[in-house]
Amino acid sequence: MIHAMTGGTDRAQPLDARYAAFIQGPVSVIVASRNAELVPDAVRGCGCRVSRDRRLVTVLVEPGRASSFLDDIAANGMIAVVFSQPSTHQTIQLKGTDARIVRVTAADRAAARLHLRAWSEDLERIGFDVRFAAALHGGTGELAAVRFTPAAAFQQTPGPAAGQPLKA
Amino acid sequence: VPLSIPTLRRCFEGAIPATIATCSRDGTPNVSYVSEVHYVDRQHVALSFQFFSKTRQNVLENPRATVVVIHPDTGAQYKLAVRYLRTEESGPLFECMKAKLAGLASHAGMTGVFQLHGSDVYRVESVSEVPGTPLTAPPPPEVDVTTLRACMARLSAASDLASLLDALLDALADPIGIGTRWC
Repeated sequence: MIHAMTGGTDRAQPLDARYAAFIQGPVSVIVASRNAELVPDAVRGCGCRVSRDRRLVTVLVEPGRASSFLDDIAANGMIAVVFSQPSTHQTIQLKGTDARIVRVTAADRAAARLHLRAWSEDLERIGFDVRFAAALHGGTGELAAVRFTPAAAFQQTPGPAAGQPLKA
Repeated sequence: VPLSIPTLRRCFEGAIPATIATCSRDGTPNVSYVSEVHYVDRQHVALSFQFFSKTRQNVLENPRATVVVIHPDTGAQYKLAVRYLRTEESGPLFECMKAKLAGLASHAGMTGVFQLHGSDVYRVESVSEVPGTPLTAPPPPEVDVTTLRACMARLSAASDLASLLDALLDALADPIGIGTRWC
């Protein structure tokens, strides 16, 4: 069961500003959902945007890579997203129950381009070249956008605190 | 070459962490990084169990999971539909993974953080390549790890020095393909 970040009220609290900045930075984005038989699926995201009030997160994926994930989102709205910066291993996970596919905007496309550049630079710091980063990242063609309200957030940086709820 | 676990061996060397998606019995998905995906045999892989995590809780409730691995040369991504079978907390598989994890931890600056509690063994039910535009792979080595492991098994079976030398010369000739007439 997902517990709301407010501790039980109907409306989740906005995402802490530090985490909002982190997930829009040079992080690997991996999104997951599951089907009606509870079989999970995961796909690499091409970037992320947080709404101005920090209550909504939009993750961008390449539809050609994400067809079953998008089907699952359309069917049940359950989502988990892990964000991890390759050079530091800093990692958090967000979860939501109301994910839905939304129209891709020009700002989304710009975010995916910026994400590719920033993420490639982070990978270069640990020895991967930009061509490799671009092949892995994708997202330079068609995009799909999935928006959700973060209902729970967890620390996942490797170590004994991994899995603990994030503190505001 | 049809996709299979042996063809993905490069993805299991730990250069790039894999990810695993799981789902609790109540239908909440979870996605997490996994430091080590270990080739067990043609139908099984083992994942490092390092922390008492949601992933672990989920696979005990619902054994079906998806693992995504990345080819470290091409950026190609592969999805493994897997089913959790058991956890080994001692024995050859555990010791092998423990040694490899120590190397990965040292490389990643995570010595003391990465500690192996167990080797979670999964059956691989299917493998598929994620659509994309991967780079061209460099030519494969003439002798891969599987071949070397088979050679080591032959050497380990030798009971004395003479049979060890015979086994070594045989292995060099076939499958490694180095002529031994110079001997």
